[in-house]
Amino acid sequence: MGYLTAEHLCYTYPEQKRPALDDLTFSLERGEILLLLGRSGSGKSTLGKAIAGTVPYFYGGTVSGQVCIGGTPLDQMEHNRRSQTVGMVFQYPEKQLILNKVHREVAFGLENTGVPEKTIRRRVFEAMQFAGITPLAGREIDSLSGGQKQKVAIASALAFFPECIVLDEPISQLDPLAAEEILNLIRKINEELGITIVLIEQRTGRCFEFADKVGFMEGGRLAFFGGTQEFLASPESRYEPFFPEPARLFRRMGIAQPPAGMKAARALLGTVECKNTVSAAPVPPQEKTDEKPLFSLEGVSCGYGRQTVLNRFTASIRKGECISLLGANGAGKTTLLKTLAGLKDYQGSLRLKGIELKKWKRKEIAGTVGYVSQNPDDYLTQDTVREELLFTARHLGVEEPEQAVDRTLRFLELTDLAARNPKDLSGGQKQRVAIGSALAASPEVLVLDEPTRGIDVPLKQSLAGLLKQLNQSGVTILLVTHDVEFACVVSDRFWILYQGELLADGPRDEVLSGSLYYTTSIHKLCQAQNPALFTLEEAARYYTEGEASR
Amino acid sequence: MKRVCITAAAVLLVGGLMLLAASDWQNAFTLVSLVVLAGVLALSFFYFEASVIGTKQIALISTLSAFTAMSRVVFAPLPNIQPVTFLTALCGLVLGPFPGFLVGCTSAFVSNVFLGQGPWTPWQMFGWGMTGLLCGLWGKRNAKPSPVAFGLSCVGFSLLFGWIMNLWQAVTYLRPFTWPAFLLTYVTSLLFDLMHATGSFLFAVIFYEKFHKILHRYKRRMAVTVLKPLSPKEEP
Amino acid sequence: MKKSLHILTPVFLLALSLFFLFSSDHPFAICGSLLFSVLLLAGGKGRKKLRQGLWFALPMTLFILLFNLVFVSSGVTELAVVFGKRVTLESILYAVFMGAKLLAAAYLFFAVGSLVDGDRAVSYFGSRLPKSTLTFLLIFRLIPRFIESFFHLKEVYTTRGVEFDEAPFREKVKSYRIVLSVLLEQSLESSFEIGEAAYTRGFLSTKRSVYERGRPALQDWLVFSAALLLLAVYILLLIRGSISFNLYFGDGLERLSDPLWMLYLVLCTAPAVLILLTGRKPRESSEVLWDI
Repeated sequence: MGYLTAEHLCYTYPEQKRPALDDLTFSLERGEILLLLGRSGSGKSTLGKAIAGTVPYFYGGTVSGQVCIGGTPLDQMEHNRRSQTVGMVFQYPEKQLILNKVHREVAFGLENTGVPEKTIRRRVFEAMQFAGITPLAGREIDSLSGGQKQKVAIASALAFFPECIVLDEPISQLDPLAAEEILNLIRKINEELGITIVLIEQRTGRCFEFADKVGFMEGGRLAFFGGTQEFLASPESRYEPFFPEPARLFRRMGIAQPPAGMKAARALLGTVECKNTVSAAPVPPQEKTDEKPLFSLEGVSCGYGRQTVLNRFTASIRKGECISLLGANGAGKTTLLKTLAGLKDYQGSLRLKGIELKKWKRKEIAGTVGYVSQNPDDYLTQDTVREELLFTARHLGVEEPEQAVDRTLRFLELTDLAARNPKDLSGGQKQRVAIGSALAASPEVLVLDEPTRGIDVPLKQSLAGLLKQLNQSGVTILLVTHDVEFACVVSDRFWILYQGELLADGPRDEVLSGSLYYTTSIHKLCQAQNPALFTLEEAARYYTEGEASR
Repeated sequence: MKRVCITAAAVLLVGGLMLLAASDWQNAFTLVSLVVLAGVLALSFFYFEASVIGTKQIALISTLSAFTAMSRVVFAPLPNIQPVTFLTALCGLVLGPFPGFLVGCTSAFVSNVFLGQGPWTPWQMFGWGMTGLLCGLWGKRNAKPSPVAFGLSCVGFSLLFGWIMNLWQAVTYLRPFTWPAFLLTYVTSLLFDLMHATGSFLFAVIFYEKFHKILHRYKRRMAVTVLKPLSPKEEP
Repeated sequence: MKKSLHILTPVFLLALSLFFLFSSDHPFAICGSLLFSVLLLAGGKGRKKLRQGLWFALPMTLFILLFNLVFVSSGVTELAVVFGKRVTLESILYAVFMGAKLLAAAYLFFAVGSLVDGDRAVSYFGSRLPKSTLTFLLIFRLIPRFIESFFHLKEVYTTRGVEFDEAPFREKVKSYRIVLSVLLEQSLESSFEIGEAAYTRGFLSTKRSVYERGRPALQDWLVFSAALLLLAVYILLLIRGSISFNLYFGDGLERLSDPLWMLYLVLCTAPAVLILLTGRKPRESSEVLWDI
C-alpha cells in the first residue's frame, strides 16, 4: 500500500458536464517525486488540487472515490491537519503571497493552524534557511524578483514540515536562471527531507533527471503511471512531445532507452559514430541590400520615473525579419517592445519607416505595429470571437473590416469558433484570438511579449508554425521569450539584452553558440560533435541520415 | 491586570461622557454618536467573524472593496462624485446584504487612508455600509432591476448618504446650534448631494449592464460551493 | 522612535485624545491635544506630516467659516457685513477653533499611527479577528496591483486603437468602460486564486496563534498611568464646569484661569514625553533577526 494513493477518483467541477478527473487510480511511495504531465486542460492541475484538498473543499463540485495520504483518506482529515500534511505552491508568485514582509508570510500558515508561538519562530527561521532566503527575511515582498517570491512561497509550504508538497507549474512564469534554482530547491527538499513531491510542469527539460515516477494525464484519465525510465522507453508517440529534447533525439535515432540526464546523454552520443559530414544547417549569407531598415534605433533610452530601463539602445530591424529577444527578467525586453509599439516616451532617435516615432499618430502606429501582450485575457471583451477581431479592425479604421476579419479568422483557423464567446475557449484558442485581434488590421510588424509562457508543447509547435507562416508572408516579427528552443525554430536573428543594452545581436551560430545560458539543450548536447546543431529536427536529420552506427 | 485596567479606563470614559451629556449636549452628541456608531460597526465585524463566510468570499469582498476604494480616490478631485455609492449598491444587489455592507464599510475606511481619516470615517462607513445592505435587501426581491430602476435607486442611496453625512456635519460644525440653521443646512446640502446623485445615476447608466453581468457570472461560480461540503467539519 | 508599545496603548491614547478633543470647544482642550500630537510627531521625524496636516486643515477652517456665516448670524462683536450676513468676531474665532480641532485630529491620527507597529497589529488582530484582518490585508495588497493592471490595460487597448485622453468625452467614457470591465473581471479571477492560496495554508481551520506577541512592558504601564491621570484631571474639570466654553454666550471666559487647566496642559505632554524618552528599548530577539 503506497503512501499517496488514489482509488477510482472522479471529480467534476460545479456546473460542468465533463468530469475533470475520470476514474484515477495510482499509488506513490513515500519520499518519491511524481512528475505530472499532460496537455492544458487534461486535468493535471485538478489532480494536484485533489491531493491538496482544495478540490472539492474549496471549489465545490462532485467527487467520488478516494485519495489517501499515509493511510488516512483525505475526506476524513480535518482542514487543519490537511494543511499541515500537504502544502501547495502555485504558478503565479504574486497571487499566492498575502502579507507584505517575507518572514510574516512564511509564518502565516503556521499561525493559521494554531502552531504555538515558540515553535513558529524556529520553523520560520529553519524554512527560510533551507530555501536560502534568510537575507531576505525583513524585505518587502513586492521588492522581490519572481524567483525569490517563489522561494518564499516554497518556504511557506516548507514551514509546516509537511509530508507532501504539490507544486502546480512553479517555474512557468520564471526566467531560466530562476527556474533552475527552484528545481534545485525542490530536489534538495526531496532528497534531504524526504518530503513527497508532486510536480506538475510543462517545462520538463530538467525535471526528468530527478523524478521517480511520471504520470501522464489525458482527458481526465491517467494514461500512464510508472517509472521515469519506463515512460521514456514507451513507444507511444503522443508522449514524445513531452520528453526532454535530448530524449526525443535518441528516440528519433532509434535508441529505445534514452538516458534521462545530460551527462549520460552526452556520453551515449559520444559512442555514436556518425558518417554524416554535411553540416546540418547552412547559414544563408547575409544579403546586403540598400533597403532602408524598417525600424532604426539610435541611442534610445527609456525608463520609469528615475529608473532607466533602456540604456542608449542602438540597433536596426529590417523588413521581414523575425527576431527573438532573450535576456533575464528586468533586462528591458518588455520595455523595448512597448517602446517600439509607441507606448513609451523615449530619448534618442527611434524611426519607423524613416520617420521619428514621436511624430507618428498613435492610431497609425497601432495600425502598423500589432502588439500582443502576455495575457490573452486582456483581449477578451466582446461576446463573440468575430466581434473581438472587429473591435480592433473598426478602431483602427481598417477598410472593409468584415472581410479583413474573415481573412484573419481563416488564417488562424478560428472560423469554426467565430461565433463562440472568447471567454469560453481554451488557453491556446484564446491566444489565437489575441493574436487575431492584433492581425485584424494587417500590421506590418507584430510584437509578442512572451507568447510561450505557460502553454503546452503541442500548442507551442502550432504557434511556431503560425509565426513562421506569418513571417513568410512578409510580417516582421519580434518576440520576447525565455524558450530558446522555440526561438530557434521561429527566428533567424537573436538579441540578448542585459541591463537595457544590446549585448549580442546576430544569427544563431553567433549568438547562441557562444552563450552559456541562452542556447538550446540540443546544442549543449551535440556541441562536441557538431556545433551547428540547434534544433531537434536538425539533430535528428544529422544523426539519422548518412550512416550512424553505434 | 490588563482586564482591570481596561475596565477602569472604560468606566472613566463612559462616566466622562455622561457628565458631558449633562452639560453640553452638542459636543456630547458628536461623541456619543461616534461611540454608538463605532459600536455598531464593531458588532457587525464580530458578526462577520462568527458567520459562515469563508475564505473565498473574503477574497471576493476584499477585491471589490479594493476596486471601490481605488475608484473613490481616482474621482476625489471632482466635487462629490462618488462611484462608491454605485459600486457598493451593485455589490449588495448581486452578493447580498451583508457582503454589500462589508464592501461599503471597508472601502470607506480604506479610501480614507488615502484621502484623510477623521471623525467622519465611522459615519461614512455606516452610510455606505447601509447602501450595500439596503440594496442587498432589495436584490433579494428583484434580482435584476433595469438600469434605470437601479440608477434611480442609486439616486436614493446618494441622497440618503448625503442626509446622514449632513447630520454629522451640522451637529459638529454649527456654532451655535439653532434649529432653523439646522434645517437650512439640509436645504443647501441638497445641492451638493444632487451632484452626488447625478454622478451615481450616470455611473449606473454607463456601467451597470456590464458590471452586473461580470459580477453575476462570477457569483454563480461561487454559489455552488457553500451548499454541500462533503464532511460536516469542513468550512470552505 | 522605536515602535515598542503594545498595540492597545496607542488605541487607548487615540480614544482618549478624541474624547478630549471633541467633548469641548474650550481652547485649552484643543491646545492639549495639539501639544500631545505635535510633540510626538516632531520628536519622531514626523515633521512632514505636520505640514501635511496644515494643508488639509486650513481649507477646512475656511469652509467652516463660510458654513457658519451662511447659517448662523449670532455674535456680539460685529466686524463687517458681507452679502447681508454679519461677520462677527465670535464666528471667526469659532471657525478658527474648529479648524484647530480638525488639525489636531489629523495630527492625532498621524501621531498615533506612527506609534503602531503594523506587523504587531496584524498579529494581534489576526488572532482575534482573523476574517476582518485578512480582508483589510488583502485590500491593501491588491490596490497597488490594480493600479498597475489599469495602466497596463490602458496600454494594451491603445494598441488596439482605443483612444483615451485625446478622444471626445463620449469616446473617452466608452474607452474607460472597457478597460474597467476587463480590470474588474481579471481581478475577480485572481481573487479566487488568492482565496485558494489562503485556504491551502489552513486559514480559518482553527483558532489562530500569534507569531509576534507583544507583552505590555514598563513603557506601556507608564504611559497608561499618565493617561489615566490626565483623564482624572479632565473629569474634575468637567465637574467643575470649566469645560464649557461658548463665546456667543460669554460662557466659560471667567474660568479660563482655572489652575486645573494648567495642570491639564502639563499632563497632556506627559505621555508624549514618556514615549519619546523611553522609546529606545533594546529590541527583542526576533526583531534583531528580521529588521533590516
